[in-house]
Amino acid sequence: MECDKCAIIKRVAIPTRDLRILGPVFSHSSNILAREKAMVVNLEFIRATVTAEEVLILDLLRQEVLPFVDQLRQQTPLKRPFDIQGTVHTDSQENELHVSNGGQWVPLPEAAEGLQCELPFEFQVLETALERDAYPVLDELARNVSTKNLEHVRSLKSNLTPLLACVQKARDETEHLLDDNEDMADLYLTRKWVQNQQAEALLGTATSNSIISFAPHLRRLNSDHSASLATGSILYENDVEELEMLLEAYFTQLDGTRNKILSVREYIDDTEDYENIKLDQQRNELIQLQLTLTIASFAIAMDTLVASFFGMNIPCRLYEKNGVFDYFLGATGMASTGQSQSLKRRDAPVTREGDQLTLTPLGAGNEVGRSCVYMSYKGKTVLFDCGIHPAYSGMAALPYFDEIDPSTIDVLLITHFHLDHAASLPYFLEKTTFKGRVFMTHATKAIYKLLLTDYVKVSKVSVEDMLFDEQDINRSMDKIEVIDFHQTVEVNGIKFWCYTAGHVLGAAMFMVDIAGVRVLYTGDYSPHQPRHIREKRFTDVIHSTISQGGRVLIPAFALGRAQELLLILDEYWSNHPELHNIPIYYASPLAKKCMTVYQTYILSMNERIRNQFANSNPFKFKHISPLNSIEDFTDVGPSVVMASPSGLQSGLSRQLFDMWCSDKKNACVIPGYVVEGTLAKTIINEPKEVTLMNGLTAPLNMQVHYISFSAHADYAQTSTFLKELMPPNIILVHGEANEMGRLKQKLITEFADGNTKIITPKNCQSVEMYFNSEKMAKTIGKLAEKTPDVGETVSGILVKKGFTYQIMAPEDLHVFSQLSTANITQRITIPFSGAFGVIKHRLEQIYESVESGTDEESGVPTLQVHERVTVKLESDKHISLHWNADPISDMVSDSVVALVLNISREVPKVVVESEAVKSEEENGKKAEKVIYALLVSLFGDVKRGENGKLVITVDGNVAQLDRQSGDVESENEGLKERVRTVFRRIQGAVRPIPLSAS
Amino acid sequence: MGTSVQVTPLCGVYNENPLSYLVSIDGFNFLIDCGWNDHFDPSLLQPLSRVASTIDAVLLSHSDTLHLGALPYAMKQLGLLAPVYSTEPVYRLGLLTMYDHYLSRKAVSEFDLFTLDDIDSAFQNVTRLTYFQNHHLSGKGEGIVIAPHVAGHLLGGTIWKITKDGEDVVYAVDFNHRKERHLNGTVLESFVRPAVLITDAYNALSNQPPRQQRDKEFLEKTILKTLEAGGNVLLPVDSAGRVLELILIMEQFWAQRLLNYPIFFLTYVASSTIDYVKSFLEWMSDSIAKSFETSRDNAFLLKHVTLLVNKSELDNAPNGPKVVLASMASLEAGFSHDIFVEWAADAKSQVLFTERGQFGTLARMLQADPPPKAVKVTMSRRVPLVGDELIAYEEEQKQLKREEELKASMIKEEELKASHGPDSNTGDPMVTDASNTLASVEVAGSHGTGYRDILIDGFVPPPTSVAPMFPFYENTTEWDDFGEVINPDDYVIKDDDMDQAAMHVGGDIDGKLDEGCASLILDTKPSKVVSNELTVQVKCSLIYMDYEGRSDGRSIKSILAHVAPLKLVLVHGSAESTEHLKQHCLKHVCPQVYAPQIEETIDVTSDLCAYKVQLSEKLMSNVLFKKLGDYEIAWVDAEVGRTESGMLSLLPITTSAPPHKSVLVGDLRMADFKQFLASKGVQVEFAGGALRCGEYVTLRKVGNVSQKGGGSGTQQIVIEGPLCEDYYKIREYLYSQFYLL
Repeated sequence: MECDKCAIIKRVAIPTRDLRILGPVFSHSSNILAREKAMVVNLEFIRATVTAEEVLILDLLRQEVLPFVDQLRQQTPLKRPFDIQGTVHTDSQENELHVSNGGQWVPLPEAAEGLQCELPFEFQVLETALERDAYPVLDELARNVSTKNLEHVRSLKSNLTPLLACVQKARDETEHLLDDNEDMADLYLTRKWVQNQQAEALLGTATSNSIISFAPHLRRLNSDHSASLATGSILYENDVEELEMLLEAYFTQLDGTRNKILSVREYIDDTEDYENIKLDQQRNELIQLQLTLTIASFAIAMDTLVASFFGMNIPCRLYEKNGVFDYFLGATGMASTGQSQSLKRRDAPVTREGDQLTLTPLGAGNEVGRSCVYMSYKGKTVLFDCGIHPAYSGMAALPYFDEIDPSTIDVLLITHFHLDHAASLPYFLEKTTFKGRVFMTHATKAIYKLLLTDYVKVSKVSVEDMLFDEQDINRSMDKIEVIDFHQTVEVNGIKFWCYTAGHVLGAAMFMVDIAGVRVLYTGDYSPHQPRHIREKRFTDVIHSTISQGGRVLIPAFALGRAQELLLILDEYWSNHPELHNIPIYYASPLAKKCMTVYQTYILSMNERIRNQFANSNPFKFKHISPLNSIEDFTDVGPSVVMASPSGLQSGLSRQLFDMWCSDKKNACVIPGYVVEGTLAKTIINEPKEVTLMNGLTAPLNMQVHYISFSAHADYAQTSTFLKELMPPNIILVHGEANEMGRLKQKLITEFADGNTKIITPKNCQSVEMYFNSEKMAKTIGKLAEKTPDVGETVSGILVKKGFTYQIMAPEDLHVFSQLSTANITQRITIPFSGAFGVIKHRLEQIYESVESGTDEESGVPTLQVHERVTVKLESDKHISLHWNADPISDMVSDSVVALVLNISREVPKVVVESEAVKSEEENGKKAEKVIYALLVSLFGDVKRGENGKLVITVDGNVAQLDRQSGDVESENEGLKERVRTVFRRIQGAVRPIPLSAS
Repeated sequence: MGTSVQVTPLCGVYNENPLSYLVSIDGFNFLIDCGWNDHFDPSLLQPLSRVASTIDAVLLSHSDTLHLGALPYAMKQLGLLAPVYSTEPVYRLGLLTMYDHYLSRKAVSEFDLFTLDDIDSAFQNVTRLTYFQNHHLSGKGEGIVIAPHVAGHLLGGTIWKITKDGEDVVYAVDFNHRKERHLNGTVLESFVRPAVLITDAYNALSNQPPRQQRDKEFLEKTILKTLEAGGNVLLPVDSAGRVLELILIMEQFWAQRLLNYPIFFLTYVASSTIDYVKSFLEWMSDSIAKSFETSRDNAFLLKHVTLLVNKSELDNAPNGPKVVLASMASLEAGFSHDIFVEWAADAKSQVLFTERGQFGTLARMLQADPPPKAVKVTMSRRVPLVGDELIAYEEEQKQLKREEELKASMIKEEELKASHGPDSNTGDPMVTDASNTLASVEVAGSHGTGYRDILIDGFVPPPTSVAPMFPFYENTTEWDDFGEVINPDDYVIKDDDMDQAAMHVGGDIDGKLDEGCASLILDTKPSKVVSNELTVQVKCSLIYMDYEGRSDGRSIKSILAHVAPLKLVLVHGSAESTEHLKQHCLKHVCPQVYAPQIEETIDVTSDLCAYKVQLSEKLMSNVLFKKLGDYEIAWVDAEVGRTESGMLSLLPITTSAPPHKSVLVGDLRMADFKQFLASKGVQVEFAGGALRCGEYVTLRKVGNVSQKGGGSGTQQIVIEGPLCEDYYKIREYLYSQFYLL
């Protein structure tokens, strides 16, 4: 049978939320949910909704599911479900029978059955999968180590992780079920269903011989109902044990599977280690070759450096493997990574789904480039950064977006405009199902557009490899929202704000607060650094060169450091009037375009610049002018030119270099990290000759100075930063694996006191943490007038907004929230031409409380039924009903309507006056009869005993029932309780409904 | 009980006087706004002077004098010492406004209430916050969080939200819900049911025409018409507030129509103002930010407006029709005053007021209906001293100087005695130079050229040296294995020194001022004020158009109804409008509306009861929430228990839950419901206030619909009809609009 979601929802009365776990989105986590009428099972590929009557299976036609269905069929002899819908309760005799039928115990609940066949099946599959995949490969690996095998094992390992999580989940779920009897009881759907029917039937009886249509919105039955439910639980308590045993068995089985997986993983880990050792050996050899390199006290290398490095090299397959990658950057002597996240408050693990915080690097995990970190907690999802890997092109450069469902992401936060942090944003916004909100700072947004447009223009990839075009960038601009530093924004319960990161203009660190758990994502940051030594060297070199009549070339990337250096130069020129006749140029169209942004967002910059702004805009350079191309440049006498690219590969910086390199008066100042393979890197080693762009060689006579102005935190800064924060958890990303390992080791020794956890996840490797979140609610308003003592009850509306809870009285709802309550007054007119007294008489048979009165305005006679519904005689031909809508009143009114209609149809043949007395007697007799008949149908052996007591014998146990008081005497407690309950219900059914029933 | 909140107005209730209110939250005293009027009348500050020393923090909401004008005076004279909080634009533009006012006053009178230095020192300790920044106070105010929110009206204009223990006190005056060219509308509407709302009644009685119509009238029918007829237009404006909007309006119009009439923006701080404003794009409207992001087109890169800081420049401008925006708006002093006197007799000219003049000012007088035929004005001007006066003055100065020198030499001697060597106190000569000595020399120097490098280069012998000499340090370079040992501190000093210099200049009065005004204050030439009273015939046309950028009465009422505070305090506004708004709010907003008198302390402590409980896991696992907009609701019956830590906690109930009256939750809007029914194929129409559904069934809402906070808060809906299928169908639809708990 195929059904759509709505149909299922209707059929089994479970909230859509629960059904959603069956959807593809949540398919990764196993789940067994118990709901009032149904059970939702999600175990790997078996997704089903189990009700008492049927099993609805999703993806029925999937290969893996079919055997399961077969198995299910075998084990479940087809049973006709009860058909209760059409039963019309017209005769109390019939009701008797029905109740007894409904009360019968259905042998084995199908639900449990379903569970029984699913679990072993599920894990059979798992086991076979493991056996088929893992063992042969590992065996082969042990015999013969080859790249292919390694690759295979790697993928196997990554497959194992989710598998393990899955098994773990299923195990936890079972454990949870075991711990919770109530849930288990809930699983007994059939039983519950039977109870429901029972209750409804009883209610049906209560209304005696009238047609009742139950108000469909009557979802929760009233207390009457719950009373019966409670009884049910008592009666069948021992049955929970059955299920418990069943589950226990599977729990053990699950545990076994889990252990098996763990051992396989261990095996793989061992193999990995072995390979690593081998690789290390090779690496050491290579490092020895590179020892001639001067290892200066570099700060950390990051983005731009790595970006240009890979940009220049032919993409190499080797990079895809961990380990080989290490060697390149390792040799250049970098110190640390710049990013860390901190998590505050860590508590003992609690295995509840909502309390688990998952952090997954989709990029930048043990690598440099394509920063992208996915975080999810309490159903809220945040994505940090959205970069590309500059070493690859096309789809390969993207973070692993396919690991996540973009449509579930609530917020995307971009720290700064660099390509490895922001460049896949147009793709993510325009080409995926992402529909959340994106935030970045004002300055980042302004430069983002310029930088990416430039990137699209200059990147020479084929059309099909293009991830996005200029149109996409422009469209993405409309979707990006801006956030100012320190400004707190709340989206869907996620609170976040940002701090200045100091890396480049507009760079931010994001603090995210979800339900009190705070995560700081630093992005690239650089603390306020004492850069004066470098600054002085920088200006000194330039000053001395130009005072000797030389020219200075500064090759630099267009954005970021370049502006800082220009600022230094402009300031220096201002302070040295003797230099005023020497021109400074910056030759980068992109930098020129961005200048206005720098001139505008002064407020995002540091205190020093902001204070300078009090005087004049520091970015309105007085001594520096832009230079569009080499043609505009008249090379007469000393000058300072800052030009891109930073590696001297081509472009203006190279043209100038070629012109100037042979004159020893000239100087080239390299202001930051340069990547291997570029000319800039070569000339740092001061070779005697260099090759010009036209292929000729020329002597390198110009002075070459290397002065690092890195905008990343180095080890000391990172450690100071962390020491100040003292986060309990640190996750390092965005650093090449080897260096990151070293940083981790160093940090571990530093934070030796033990409470700090340092994790360096690989791409797509999730870090899971548990935070025990105490849900606190504030009880306010009328409900809080008195603080209750232990043992008292509190009843009210629980209002949840975001992660705050409030409990209040319904009257206060509009005071403390924007919600309001409503009263619906209903008035319905019914044609009725008989005597008003007849109605009253009939009503009295059903309801205990029927009050006569007169309407104050019109003076017409009225009846108030059950203190809820007022019946008014409007005219000869009409009566009207008034009541305030609520389930019970609706029901009462419905019964009144039905009754009135019935009267109209029948010929009124009763004489009211004499009837009153007689009927009471008759009623008594009738009730007695009914009680007797019902008891017989339930217990079989019922005799009339002395004093009007009834003697009930069941399996040799005897109970005596006092018909007047309802007292039961019996030696068997179980029977006593049962008889008492039954009698109470029958009493309720045959008597008019008392007021207390609602 | 909730947090204790008391409000005491210090100025500006039942009238249009400047704003200044004392709000005390659990004993922590906030002074919210510290305004003064254009007369700078000290008597207005009497109430403030009585409490100034007890104030713990000052919050500023807007950058005009009415909101912060008294700050320098209060800091200097009244003993106000508390830290000040404002947004960056309010801080910057407020500072400029104060400069402008001071200079305008100083030019025409012996103004001595405060000096430029006082302004600087008052603004020195302003903590700048951004919108939506939650700033946690520490110390005495522990637990209090203040956050500025967008107010509209002026750039950086702030609605202050003060939160303690989850209860919000919101101060929102002069907000504007309309989006303007350079500003976003206020976010006041996003606040939901704050415990206390303090707002103004200033505009409660006014109404505004639609913006487009108003703009058209303003630009075409008024300004352009006058210009085309050969007349000049004077707009008396504030220094750095609403004028920005006017400038933008005119820029756009000029660009659109390709007009050539010159526009002049004339204040003592005009060019600084625009310079700063250019970097405040983060604070402006979305459209301005967007146009910058996409095309790097800064809206305040003005093409048609010329910035002037000196009236003589205006006088030198070519003759012919022109538009002049000049401060002050009240016409009491400043350039606008002078220009008005010049142009008043010219029938072709026009004076266009864009805001209501402050009470008792010339502007207010001219705005009267009918306008006066002639007004009395005082023309004052500063003239250099000559003859005997000059000699007397010089004598006095000499005397003063001698005394100073004597003092200085004595100090010097003492210092010499105290010091052990020429460079014992490690004085880097430049540090001393920049920070304390000869500040006046620097000041003068920096004005002359506008560049600050000169003062840094200036060499001054250290005061501690016996005889003037160049500082000499023996080169005791240390070497280790790696070469010369570098002490980073040596270099740090240089930077500090530069910073200091930069800060010094930055903090200095003239750094931010334009040359024109600089010459005025620093004119060391002795001068005096000469005044003469004259009567000016007013022949020019006088027009008032509302460009105040405040929400009008109708919007205020609807916003207040939407915000629906638990308690409302009304301040600032004429007695009439205050009373009007009070009556309105009592009826439609909330039952507790206060309009206190000056120095009358009202207690608006919320009578809210509340206690905290923990929600146990067990309870929560049984709760099924229903989603309703931003909210999720559920009915809970729980038993109270205690956690290990002694917290109250709610556990699942052990006995059967007691029955509760069912609650229908939801907000039915008839219009929406009508559409809903129509979509379900039911014939619906409104008839006589009721919704007729189908042939027979009618649906109506009874009771006062708009009354949100005051009444029971429960909507009364009546559905009636004969017994028929339609009835049940429509009832079913109706139920579907609600949640039953």
